[in-house]
Amino acid sequence: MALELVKKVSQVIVFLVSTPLGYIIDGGILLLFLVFTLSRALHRERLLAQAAGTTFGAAQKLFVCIDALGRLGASLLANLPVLLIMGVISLSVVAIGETVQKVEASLEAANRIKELQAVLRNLERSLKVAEIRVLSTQNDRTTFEITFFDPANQQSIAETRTISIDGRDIYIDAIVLNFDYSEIAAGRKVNIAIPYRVFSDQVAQINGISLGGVDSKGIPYMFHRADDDIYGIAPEIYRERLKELVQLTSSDTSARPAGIVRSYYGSALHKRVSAGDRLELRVEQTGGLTLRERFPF
Amino acid sequence: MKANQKNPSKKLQKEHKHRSISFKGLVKTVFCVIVLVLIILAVGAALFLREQQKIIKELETSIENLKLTTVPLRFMVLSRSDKELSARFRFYDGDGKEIASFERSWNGSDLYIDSLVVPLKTGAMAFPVRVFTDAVAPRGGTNLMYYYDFNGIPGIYDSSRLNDQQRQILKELFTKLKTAEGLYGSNAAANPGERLLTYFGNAVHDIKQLRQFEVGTIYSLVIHTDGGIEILSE
Repeated sequence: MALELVKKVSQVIVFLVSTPLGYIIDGGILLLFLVFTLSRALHRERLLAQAAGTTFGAAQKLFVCIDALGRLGASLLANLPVLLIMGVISLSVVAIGETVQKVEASLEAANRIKELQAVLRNLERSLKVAEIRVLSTQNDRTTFEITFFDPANQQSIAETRTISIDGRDIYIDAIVLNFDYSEIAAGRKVNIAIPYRVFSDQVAQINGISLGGVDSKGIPYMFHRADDDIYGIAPEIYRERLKELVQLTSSDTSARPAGIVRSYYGSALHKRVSAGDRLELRVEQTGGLTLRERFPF
Repeated sequence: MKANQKNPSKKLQKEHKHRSISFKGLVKTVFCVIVLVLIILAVGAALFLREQQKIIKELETSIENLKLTTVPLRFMVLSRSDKELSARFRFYDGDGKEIASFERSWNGSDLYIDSLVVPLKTGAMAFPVRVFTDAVAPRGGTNLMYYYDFNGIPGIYDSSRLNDQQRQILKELFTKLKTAEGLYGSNAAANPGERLLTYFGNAVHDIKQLRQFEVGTIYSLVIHTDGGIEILSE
């Protein structure tokens, strides 16, 4: 409370000595004081002249005004130490008020920096969805191992499969769900990618290899697991996520509840591969999927 | 005797006066020091706050930059049946001006728009390369680069803001990409251009069982600075 009062007083002082409107107010107060002082002196002298039966002409008025201003000046000089002390006290109040204000603003700024850093961190995040290790590319047929990860726990492997398919340009097809930036930035949601099919430059998607099959709702079976088979995430959370995905993707209206889901589509990342290649399929929190090369050690 | 009595009291008075003056002086000094310290603190706090505001500005700019996107292509499904679909595509340059368009039909039900993504130090560039469907293998798809290849320069990245040197660099990158992808001549298995350029492909599409592109709705192919590709309806 005391600090608030000091801040307010400091603000008033700063306003009065550093803003055009403050100068006008200061000038106005000074002018009023001068007018009051001179009026009082003139009134007193007029009464004295009337009592003495003498005239009170323009020359006498001028003399009275000059005399009153002179007395005022002398009074100010006599009280100079007091005025200086008041000035120093005002300066102290301003300094305290400014310091308190700046410290409060600095604490707010520090919080804002922390928030923005969290937002930036969330948006810059890139989560691994799968790793691909190419075993062979003989006779224009590619054999590779694909390992799926739980985005919530990058160390948790959901499944590993070995796949062979004609062609050298391998397409890993996934369902992608991108949430609104506000959801990602706040850390409430992460964009989701679920690989569900493999095809190639030579093999049409319809003839591709299903990654464990998809249920009637389009969710790959590989993600339906018994409690014992769920690693790195609590089973109820895992199922909650699947349920959320089904609700979000089951119809036009539910897929964009309150603008939370920004986009929902398929994305088939692909690359022409050679034996020994190691690739990472990642879901970017700004939206979409990317593929990174991991060169063999 | 009286003089002796007077002298001690005068001495005491002098001492008392001296102590008062010293005490007042000390108070004044302490007061001045406190005021000076407060002023220094205020100035220091103001400078620190200015630095913090600079950091906030930089963070906000970084966040906005992350959200930057380009839209080189828009499309619309014109018609769809069980076995066939038709669509119209429009291409745009760096200034947002339309530079090409075409309409085609394909066998199939899911529409795939394939792009080649080239990660660079300052971000990624994506070049739409082909259109195919779930029933058409990618190598049998429709070449898209043909529509925005203007004398070797990819029209989707050309802009009035580019100078000649930048255009030349763009042309060289585009040539390397087309060579690596085998769009120049044969796409032999061992293409020497392949390892000269790091890139990957991303074919975005609709999904019959879950969500198909609606007939008559315009969709944008949105390229994020980190190389992610997204489809957004307008």
